[in-house]
Amino acid sequence: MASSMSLHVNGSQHVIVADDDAPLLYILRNDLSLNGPKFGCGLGECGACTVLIDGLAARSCLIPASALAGKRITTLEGLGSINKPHPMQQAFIDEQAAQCGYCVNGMIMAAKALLDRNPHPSVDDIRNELASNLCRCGAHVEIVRAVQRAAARTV
Amino acid sequence: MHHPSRQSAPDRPARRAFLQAGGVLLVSFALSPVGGKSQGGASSGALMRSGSELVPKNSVDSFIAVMADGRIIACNGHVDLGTGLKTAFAQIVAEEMDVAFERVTMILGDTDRTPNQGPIIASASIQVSAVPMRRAAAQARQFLVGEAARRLQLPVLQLRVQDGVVLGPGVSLPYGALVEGRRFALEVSEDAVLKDPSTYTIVGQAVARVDIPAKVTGGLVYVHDMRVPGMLHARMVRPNHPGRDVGSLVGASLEAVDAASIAHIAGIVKVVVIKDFVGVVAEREENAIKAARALRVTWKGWDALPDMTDLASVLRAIPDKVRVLKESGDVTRAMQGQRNTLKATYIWPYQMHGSIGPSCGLADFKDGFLTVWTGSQNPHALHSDLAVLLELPEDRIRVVRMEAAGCYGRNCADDATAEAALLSRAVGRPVRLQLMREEEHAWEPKGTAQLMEVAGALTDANALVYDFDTRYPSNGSPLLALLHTGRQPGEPNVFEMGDRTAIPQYRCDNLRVVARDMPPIVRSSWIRGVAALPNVFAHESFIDELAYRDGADPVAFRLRFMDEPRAIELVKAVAQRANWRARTDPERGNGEPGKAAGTLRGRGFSQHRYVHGKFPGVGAAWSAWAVELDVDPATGGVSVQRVVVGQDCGLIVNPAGVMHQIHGNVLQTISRTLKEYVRFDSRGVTSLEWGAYPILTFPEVPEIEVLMMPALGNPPLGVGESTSVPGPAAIANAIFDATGVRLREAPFLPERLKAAIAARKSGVVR
Repeated sequence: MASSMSLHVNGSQHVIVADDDAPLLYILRNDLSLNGPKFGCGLGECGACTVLIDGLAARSCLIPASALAGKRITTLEGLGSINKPHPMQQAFIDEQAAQCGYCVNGMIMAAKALLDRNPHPSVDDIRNELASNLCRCGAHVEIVRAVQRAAARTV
Repeated sequence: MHHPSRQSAPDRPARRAFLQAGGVLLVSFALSPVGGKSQGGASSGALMRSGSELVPKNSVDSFIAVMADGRIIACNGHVDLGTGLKTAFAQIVAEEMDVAFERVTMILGDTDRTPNQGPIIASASIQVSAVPMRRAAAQARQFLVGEAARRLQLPVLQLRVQDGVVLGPGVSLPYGALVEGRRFALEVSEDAVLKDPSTYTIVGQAVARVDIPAKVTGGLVYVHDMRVPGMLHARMVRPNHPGRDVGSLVGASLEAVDAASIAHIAGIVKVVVIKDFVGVVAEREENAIKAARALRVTWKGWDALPDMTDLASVLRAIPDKVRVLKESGDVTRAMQGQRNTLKATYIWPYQMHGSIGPSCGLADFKDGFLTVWTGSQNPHALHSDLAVLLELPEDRIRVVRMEAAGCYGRNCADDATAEAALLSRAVGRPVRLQLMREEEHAWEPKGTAQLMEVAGALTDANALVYDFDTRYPSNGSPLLALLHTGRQPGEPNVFEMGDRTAIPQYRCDNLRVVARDMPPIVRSSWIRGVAALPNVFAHESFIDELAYRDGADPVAFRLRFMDEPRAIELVKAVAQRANWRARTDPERGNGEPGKAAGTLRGRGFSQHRYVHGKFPGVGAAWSAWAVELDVDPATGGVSVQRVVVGQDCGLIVNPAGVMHQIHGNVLQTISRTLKEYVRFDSRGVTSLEWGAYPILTFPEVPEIEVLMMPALGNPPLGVGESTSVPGPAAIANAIFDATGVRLREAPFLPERLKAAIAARKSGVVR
């Protein structure tokens, strides 16, 4: 059943009308015109749709938006912009850590959540954290370096 | 960035804007598409349209344009598939024109603006399609300097160019001023004088990719993110034979659609049914998904697939056409009486391209004119397909290519776009269609299975006899919408592509190479290292088997039969970097202890040059791998520890780009070799999500060391896929070195290796 819900996304409040079971992903993309989170599998297996919910990495393709009243949702756009990228986004630019880049939203969001929790992760920490984020182009080497670079900037 | 401006046929304003601009220099290029009209070479029936040519290759419309404000705009029919091609192309143009990199804007793959340069295949864009563009840029520079000399009344020799400004003694004229208020048009000449590569300052630099900043900040880059006013969302309901496109029931298997079954879902605009084409259009995306899942559709039953777990039997049972690719000496006679003749059969499984983003297309059909936004790899071929599908003249269709998830050969990008076009026409509004994960997994044209049978022997210390036979069942995978709407029958056509790198790159005194062309079993087409990767898996495993029989070090054995100096230099360099110690006594199952307790360490080598295109084909870069890996004999698990990979690709346009392509191809090849195979039941594909088709993950990434050979004045060669080609055999050879077990069927799954180790221990020889 369609109902009205209030979502806090990237620092502002939005009122959306959608079915109670509508996954957050489609609302972010279609109602709020956000490009960051991507549809990859709809099953939580690949990580392309990752957003932060109260600072924790979460798969927006699975979570019904109606369950998120009062939560703070952050997407890739909420981290920084092309003119003022977040240090994690800048690190991905500096390391050229994308080929097709479809997965990169999930990599950046998951890595951001990791550094918030553990500012100085080991390479193994990074690899384990990203173990369920799939990249098909094989940009893994550059992605791990980008996260290390961002971590080195965090003092 | 492409914007959804309305186009009215037959006006092509995007292109005309250049032609009508007051101050502009246009240099057109003459092109020869890669591989001719059909990539498959000779074949039965129309398999793949060669594509539209709205922008003539020899007219002023295909160009490099120098604008009055000093910008340079260059158009190329090839598109960037996430490899950094756009950046590399811009470097080439900036270099030849002596302008800063930032002044160059590339427009790729827009059928209104870019010439058809043939399909993007085999990583050949830099090697082939950059050539006319480079000439055009050189000619533009030459013309502008000549024009400056005339105006300044100075000899050309006294002039030089710095960032788009012609400089002479005490005088300067920017390019923009030279074209201001006038319009020049030139045709590219074959003898445009190109820069000496030793003077390059932009080509050869690790220029940062132009596309990454927008990709990491959520900018509009991908077709998936394209939105137009009034846009609806759609999902398809697919026939119940996942991934099959051959047979009399193609386009004729629908029995009934019960539209009432989705009456409870809000915002349904239309259920569109055309034979086997069933789509649901809705106001909201999540409701389109819900409706496509809930819609009650009944289909006719199909013939059962054969048992696809026994690929060797399946491939041997298909009727084939034998094509002798090469025959020298007398293989049969040479093998007679040879006691050490070795025979081996190698099997490569069906694999997925596995785009992380399921394919997406956006179409707007209005007033008899269709605009589509697509992630197609071959926009001009799609353009022709759309004209057939919608029975529209090509000049009433515009195909705009945007970036998409990596596809490594083929995915459903064209299918999604064509389906969106039919749906948009049916509802009279713009329609966005993205495939669900299970649709992409089921219906993407698979990289086909291949069966290679080899026999060979050493007839003398320096003489080989080699008999190679390869089976490749595939066609060009016609557009699903053409098949499902009955516009094109599901005929089992044949593509002649199994010949790629089928000729072994070792000196053989007696040699026979046969390709068996055969129709597809399931929907399949080219994937990275088209046919070459499986063929080289066989060649490079077999040469290792021969070396072992000869009691020779595998690298030294290879060098004994190599003649090409660049390949020899590469092999030596990679062996040295890998600290390869000649060993004539392989470990035979008593491998060195690995890192973890109880594991066995092995090393393996492999090399080949990727030869692609219509037989006999053209060579891309040479590549060689040296692999170190650990095997856990208790589980059969293989863990690749270190890969030294070397490449000779001639001139390198962007070393960072090449490095990233090599990393990517190494990782994808390890994934394909150790983990990947498509599962089927009697109806079709059953690997419908990532759990059923696992790919390499971060914890499994080995150390990769890349060695790039100096260009030594050689022109650029295709890079990406060349790296993939030797990979599987290097891993197979290292597993043999660690365990004494020879795996001849990929992927090298733990259960497969564990069983082989157990069989070897109990004395059962496979």
